[in-house]
Amino acid sequence: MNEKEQTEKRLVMAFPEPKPQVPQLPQHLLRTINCQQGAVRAVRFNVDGNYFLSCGSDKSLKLWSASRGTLLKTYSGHGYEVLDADSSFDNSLICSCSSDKTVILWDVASGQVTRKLRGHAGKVNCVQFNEEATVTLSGSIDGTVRCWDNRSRKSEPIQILDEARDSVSSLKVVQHELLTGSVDGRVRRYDLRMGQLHVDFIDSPITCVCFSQDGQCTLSSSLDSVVRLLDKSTGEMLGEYKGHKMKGYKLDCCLSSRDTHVLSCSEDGHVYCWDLVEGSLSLKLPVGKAVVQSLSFHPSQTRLLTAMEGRVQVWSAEPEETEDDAPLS
Amino acid sequence: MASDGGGEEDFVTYGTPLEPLEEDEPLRKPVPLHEQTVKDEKGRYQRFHGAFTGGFSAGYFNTVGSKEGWTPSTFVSSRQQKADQHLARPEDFMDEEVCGGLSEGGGAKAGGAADGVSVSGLRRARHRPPQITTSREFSSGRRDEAADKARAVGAQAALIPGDLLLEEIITPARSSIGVELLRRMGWREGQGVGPRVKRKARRPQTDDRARVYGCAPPPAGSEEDEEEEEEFAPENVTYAPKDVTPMDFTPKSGLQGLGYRGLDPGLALQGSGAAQHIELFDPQGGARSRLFGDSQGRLRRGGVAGQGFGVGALEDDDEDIYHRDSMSRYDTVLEGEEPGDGLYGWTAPQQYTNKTGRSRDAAYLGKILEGFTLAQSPLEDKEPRPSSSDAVFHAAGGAGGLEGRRPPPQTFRPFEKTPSKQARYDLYLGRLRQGDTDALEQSLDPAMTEWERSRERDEFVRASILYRPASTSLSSRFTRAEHQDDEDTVEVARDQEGDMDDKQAAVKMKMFGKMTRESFEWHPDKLLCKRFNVPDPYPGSGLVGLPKVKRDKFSVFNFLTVTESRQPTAPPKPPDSGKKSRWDVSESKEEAEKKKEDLSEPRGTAKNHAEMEPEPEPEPEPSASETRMEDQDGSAKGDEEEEEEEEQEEQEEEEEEEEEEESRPPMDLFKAIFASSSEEKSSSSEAESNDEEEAADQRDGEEPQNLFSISTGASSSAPPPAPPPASQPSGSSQTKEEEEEVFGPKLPPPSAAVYTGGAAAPRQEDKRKRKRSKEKKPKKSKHKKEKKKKKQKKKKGKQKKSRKESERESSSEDSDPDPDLSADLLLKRLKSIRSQQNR
Repeated sequence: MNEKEQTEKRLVMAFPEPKPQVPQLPQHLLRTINCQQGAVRAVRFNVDGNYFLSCGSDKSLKLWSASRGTLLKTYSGHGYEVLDADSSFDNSLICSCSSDKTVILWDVASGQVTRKLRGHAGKVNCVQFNEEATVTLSGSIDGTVRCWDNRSRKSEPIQILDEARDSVSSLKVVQHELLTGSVDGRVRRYDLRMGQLHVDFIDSPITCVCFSQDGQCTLSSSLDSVVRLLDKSTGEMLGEYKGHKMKGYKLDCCLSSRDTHVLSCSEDGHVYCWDLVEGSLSLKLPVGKAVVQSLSFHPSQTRLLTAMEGRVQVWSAEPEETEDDAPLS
Repeated sequence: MASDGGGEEDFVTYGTPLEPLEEDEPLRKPVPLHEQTVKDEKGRYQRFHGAFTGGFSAGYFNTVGSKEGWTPSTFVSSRQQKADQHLARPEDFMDEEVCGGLSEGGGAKAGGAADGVSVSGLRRARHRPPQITTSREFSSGRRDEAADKARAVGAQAALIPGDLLLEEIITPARSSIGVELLRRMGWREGQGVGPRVKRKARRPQTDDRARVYGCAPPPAGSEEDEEEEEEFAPENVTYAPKDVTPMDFTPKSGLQGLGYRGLDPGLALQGSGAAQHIELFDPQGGARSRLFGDSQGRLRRGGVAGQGFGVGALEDDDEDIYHRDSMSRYDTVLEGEEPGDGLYGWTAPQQYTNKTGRSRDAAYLGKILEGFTLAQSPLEDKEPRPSSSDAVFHAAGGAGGLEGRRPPPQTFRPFEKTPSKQARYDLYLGRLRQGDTDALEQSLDPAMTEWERSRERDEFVRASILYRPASTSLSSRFTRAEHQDDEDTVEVARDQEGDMDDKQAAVKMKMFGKMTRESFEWHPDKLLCKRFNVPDPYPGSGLVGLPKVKRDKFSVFNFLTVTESRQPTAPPKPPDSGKKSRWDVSESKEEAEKKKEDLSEPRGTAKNHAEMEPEPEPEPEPSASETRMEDQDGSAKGDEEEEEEEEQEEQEEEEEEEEEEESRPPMDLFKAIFASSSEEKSSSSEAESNDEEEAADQRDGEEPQNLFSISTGASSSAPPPAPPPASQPSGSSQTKEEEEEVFGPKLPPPSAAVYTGGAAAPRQEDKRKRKRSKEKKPKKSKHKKEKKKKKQKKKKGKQKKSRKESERESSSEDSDPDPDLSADLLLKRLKSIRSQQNR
């Protein structure tokens, strides 16, 4: 953070911060985990960030300890590569989706398939629990988002959101809002409380969408190699982040845990990290030579997971000692 | 199996039974593909090259040939090595493993050969151990009884009785696996092969045999016995087909000519040995018949018969000194097959061919193709064919002539109004079907006047020609429509998305916000709200999703979307039966009402009407939710509509076949298209055209967007009707990029580096993995191909769009919002974010 911003901050803030915290970036590689499950399609922290899930192209889903990097459990049951996964707030359930057109709910402890949700007509790109894990939402290449009821054993979804005109590539749920990004170049936000659908036209196929932590903005990355920060309520663009390369692959983007930075995967083997306000590139994290496919930011700490090919790498702000801190959080 | 109980003892079991499944046995996981490995004797991984390209042991490091590569063998003169020239054996071309396996097996075989294989075989076996032979398990252990019998007969007939016994010692006593199988199925030697037959069918065969095989006299008492047996034979008992005599290929021994038979010692005592009929394949027929217990005394005279001696003192003549043959002893005529199994082939047997009358029809049923009846005479052939077009249909039917197709249970009733007449017509048809020559006369009412009758005759004939064949031939081609064709409405989303071009321009200029944002009323499912712990925003509304309205099905703008929404991919069912999604178009009540309305009106007017009239909007409109964009000016609408029409036309060509099958004439559609487009043009020029039309136009301004905003739902595999934006923000490179991307972003390829993780045999592992990744590639490229195809379709639309774009640049400019204003807003937003982030 430069001086200009800090002065600005001082102006805005009514009271001075006791210790002006320098935003730290996860630039030190803590460890590299070889997942042994083919290409890792997605890597996801759990709710508290102590564990993470890796979705492999060899049909398996693996649960790891984030602090130690040890494999805790392997969940196998998908018929094709696993594309996305999410864990419930209480860590009791995991949902995962796959190219085999199914969404599977797993019992975390036993590793058994709790439910297998069939209905999508194509591969399922993204899956997400709602906040209370009462509903599983899955977005598929068939252009629909299906809302599955976790409370009942009904095999049919509660509702099918078929507004997208192309594959639904990304999906996020926060509270009563559902954000979807589609290849038709639109970010759709379903507001359940208001009963409204807001469509933001981005034009280029969307690869990933995110809510900001404060819930006021949406972040969307698209295949024109631009990450855009839009105001949630009006749809205006607040920031535009460029420099990375995202032209063909479905790569992730995210916001840091305190909304200070925007991070995005890139096809050139780096993770790009921009200052949210300035829009300037603050870190270009070299991950490897291949495409960085997925990333996940720790919900509270400055810690980042990146997935490239078959490896998951854990990045942290401090070189080594954070490793000891991890269990404390 | 046999121990299971008496009931099952009757069955014959083949093969080895599977192990019984245990109920509580845990499901064994199949070995995953990547763990299915093959190692050679040294523990190295073997690569599979394909079943026909080398198997596991092809070439040198996945290549063909050796370390030096593959070189064709060159010619080397072997003139000098003629002495030690050796023939290439199959083993020279076999792999080591195969050879090894063979030699092992060969050893076993050599051991087994001692008990049965012929001497020559043994010699060969000693010479060349690995040899492909029928393994013992496939050769029957049992001896061929019939062959034994035949051999015994031969032995008796031979010069020295018992001569063949010597042969038997050294010939393999094996029967083939086929014989073994047959035997297991209950077949016995000497018995005919085929389905079992009834007694009746069997009888003529024995007669036949008595006639044909002259040398084997018919069993004396057996005929009467059979006659009797027949009386007692129960109906349900079947018998094996005619017995056959196994051929016995006795090697010829001696120097006599063909057909020579020596003195038959058996005949010597019996009398005449002269054969009446020669059976070519069974020189020892007589002897065998004796052996089989036939009565010999009837034909034979006493004395020794045969060749080799002169006329004996006890013999009358020497007519048989030399065996003379005459044609009279052979069959000269090929006779028809015996009735056999009672079913006839393609030609009718005699007893039917000379019979006439209707009984044939009934008797023959089941022996000719189903659905066909025999006609008797081409009586109707002189009837004039109605017209050339009809003749096409009747060609198959034959107009009740030679062989008419039996019509399905009378669907067409031409004289329904007068039941009596219809009844007569039915009668006529029935008789016609049965082939009555005077069907017409018989079925007419004799009480009618001559004039009436002649008229009815004409009518019936015409009706039978006209309607019957047509109804059958056509009805087989068409299926009944599930819905009435006059359902003229479909459900479409009420709120349509705005202009794409405007938005693209806005995106280009980074004017996100008002220009790119659209909001719709959206109804979440009640249950979904409950699960999300939020109150239902529209309590009491039965709607789910975007509100929908009914639109004319054949409206120009709906036409595309109608076909699209019918795509079969996973039509989702609404969770509640009361709620409807746009997929179940035809089931709704409103639909039914609409139908009624349309029925009451003439077709054409109904359609136009529906286009003009405001659509019924059944759903309650909460005013708060109505936040549709208001800034769409007229010009934008106009352009948009034109575009739609062009696309419409384009797609129509693809859908022509569908249209042709619809009862509605395609003219209507075209009329609709051109009418509306002319309206469009006129509305811009002549403002004084009637107000009503203008109102309709405005509504239509919303309608065209159906093309875009009816979500294809589950049908994303088809290209969306809307072409991708013509004006890409990042120029041509972007569009090229997109050409490969219809399904959207793909997944990065898993590279070889992925698999470097600690495996026991990293090198081998690597190799295999790399191969796997190679295998994956073609899949992707195939995918791409599909994409490209689709893209090409899209391109057309794109070009058109870009043309349009240039035309209408001026119009879009004035709709831009003030840039300063938005900058202000931006700043504000940024500040608020910053404050939040510092909080």
